[in-house]
Amino acid sequence: MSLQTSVEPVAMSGGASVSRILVLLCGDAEDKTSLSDLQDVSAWLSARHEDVRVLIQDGPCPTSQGVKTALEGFDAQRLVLGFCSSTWPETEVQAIVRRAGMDPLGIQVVNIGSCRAVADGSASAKARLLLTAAVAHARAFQRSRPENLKATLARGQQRISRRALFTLPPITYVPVPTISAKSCAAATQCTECVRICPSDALRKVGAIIRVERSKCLSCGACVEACPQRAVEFPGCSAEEFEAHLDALLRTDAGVTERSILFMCGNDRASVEDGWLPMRVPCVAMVPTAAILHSLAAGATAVGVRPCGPACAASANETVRGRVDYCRKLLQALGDTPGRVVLDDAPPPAPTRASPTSQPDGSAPAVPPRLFGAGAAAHAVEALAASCPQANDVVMEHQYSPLGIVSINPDACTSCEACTHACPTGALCSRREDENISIAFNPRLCIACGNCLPVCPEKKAGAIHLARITSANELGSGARVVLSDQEMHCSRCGAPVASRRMLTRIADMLGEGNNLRRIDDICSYCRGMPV
Amino acid sequence: MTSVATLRQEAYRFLALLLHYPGGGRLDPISDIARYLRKRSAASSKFAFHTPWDGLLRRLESGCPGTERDIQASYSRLFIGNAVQKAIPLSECGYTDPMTSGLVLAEVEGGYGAVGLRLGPGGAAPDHITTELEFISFLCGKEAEAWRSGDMGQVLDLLRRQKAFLEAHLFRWLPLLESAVTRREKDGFYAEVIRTSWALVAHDVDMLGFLVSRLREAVKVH
Repeated sequence: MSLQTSVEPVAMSGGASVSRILVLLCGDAEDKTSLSDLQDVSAWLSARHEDVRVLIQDGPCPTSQGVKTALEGFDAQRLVLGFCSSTWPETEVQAIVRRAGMDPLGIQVVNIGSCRAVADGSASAKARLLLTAAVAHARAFQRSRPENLKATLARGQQRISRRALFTLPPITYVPVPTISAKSCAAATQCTECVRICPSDALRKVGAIIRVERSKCLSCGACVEACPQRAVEFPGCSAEEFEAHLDALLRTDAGVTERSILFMCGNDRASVEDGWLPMRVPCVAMVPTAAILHSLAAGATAVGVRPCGPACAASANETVRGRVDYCRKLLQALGDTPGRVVLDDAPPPAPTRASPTSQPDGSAPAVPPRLFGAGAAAHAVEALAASCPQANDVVMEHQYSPLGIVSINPDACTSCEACTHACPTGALCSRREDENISIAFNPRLCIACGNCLPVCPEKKAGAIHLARITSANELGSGARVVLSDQEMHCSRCGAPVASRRMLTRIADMLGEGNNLRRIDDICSYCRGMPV
Repeated sequence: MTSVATLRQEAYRFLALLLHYPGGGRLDPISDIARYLRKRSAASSKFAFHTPWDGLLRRLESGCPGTERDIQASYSRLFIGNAVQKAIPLSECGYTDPMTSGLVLAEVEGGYGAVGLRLGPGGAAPDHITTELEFISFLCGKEAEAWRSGDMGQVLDLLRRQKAFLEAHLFRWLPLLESAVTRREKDGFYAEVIRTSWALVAHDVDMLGFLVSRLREAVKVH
């Protein structure tokens, strides 16, 4: 076994070498695939990233011993493995990485053996791009905490002989999400993560969300659902996902047409040529904003490949719903719906110039924030920006990540319960002097519907939520949906109620009521002289 | 499996030792113990708690993190408190509803009594972190003996006891203690010790879970 260093170590001022991310490539990739210039890939990566060291290891595909040898020579903090097969000695590599003081959840594995061909015929360009994305992912990784790791038995170790009981079975570690109490909006009735969890591993206890580790499937669906980005999921956190996808879309690696395929990390099936695979714990964690953002950033097509009905976490219905929404939105925008596909049928031919294929490799200024409130609005706007019909688009869909809340001024009593229940601040109230106003920001609305059940006048139709994506609404920004006045006690000046509330009470009491006697006197002084 | 149980026994015991009040020369042999344990720590690299465990041993191997006086000052600042800062409780009852403190103490003591243990006079409280860690260490020691003798029924019983105790007690309140100490002294010695303890407990709850189900099934089959 031998190691070839592609470039000389970068010298620090003190003479020590800098090597934060180690990329270990399997030398066999050249033989097994059409990837004939592994040295070129290695040199390209090293030249582009100062904090990356690339090593090419002679085959067979890096073994745990090979990883150990590679790590011994360098002070690496993250590890990217470019293997030429889809299987790798996970348990052993995790142990070696741990011994080197690194966090195993930060390991990124790229199957460069799958780089057979891409649309422009350059396999090494595809390898460059996939490795750069993996490096970006590794760089965005933050250390996991003990509560983020769950020990599980490696596959095939569930049933064993009596003799084997006396030896420790191979253990692998999977990430478990934790909820940041600082950011979590559970206190505002938000239970989006609880609702989406396919295994009932999350439950609300008081004003906090608890994770039941034994039930968690590590699918990451809660990361997608959280409007506050409060779910910490090391290994595939919101930040890592965004960095990975951004690198896939924006890196000028020589790939002119990009078709992104979101697929399950456990999916070992081969990927059709032409796709750039992005493996996630489960496709249920791929937000609609990520699909739309990819299209807006110039991806020829976006594919979503669920692992099938056998997988408890794949949430096929939700995934299909999101894909259907994206297709219908494309259609409404006058684009080809076929740019978004379920499963990995060969990507469609490009229908228009890809923005990322510009000579300088620059991409449109689409914010890479793909999770949390506001992300879907950015993505829809970016996609609509290139379409002539965009301003006219109004589309209703069950899986719309955006919603429009309307308030009926005749029924609303300005109690503000809806604003307190809104987890994203899309509905908010403001008081200035005697004026009360409720404003709605369509860019922040995630159509969660939390505002509906808390409304005391919902039967009277005071509030309505439509799962509508409207380019015009997004463009108009926040607007006041209800204005009211606060009535004050005529004696002591303390607030009594809003004018609409008093009107509603008067209506309920009917004619001949005594409201006139109390509507200008607060409950504290009862009109007594002050 | 014997070596795994022994490794865990030593780890819990050592962490309990570090969390006792640092007086009476208790910390004098720390470096030697750390060196001894570090030699054996290669076996722990299979486990997720290896990173904080090895880091702690490495830190202690080169000597105590300060003089005994310094450590005592740190301990007092954190766990005894002063006029400026409130003490961080090292006992489980400090993190539970005061109305249920009696119940917690009864549960903990019941757990000790079930394996024939009784608290001696003048020692730490039954719900003190050192007592609970030492209890798990004791169960791990018994587990190692049971593995050695091949008594699967006994092994299964001890694994179940460890899992139940960890889940009901340390797993619930240790993260609260960890975040309280980390908030006060992020890189301090005690923050590291408690972080390591939490990593070990969090790991063991999962590992014991699948070991119990695997063993239960195997005992049923064979």
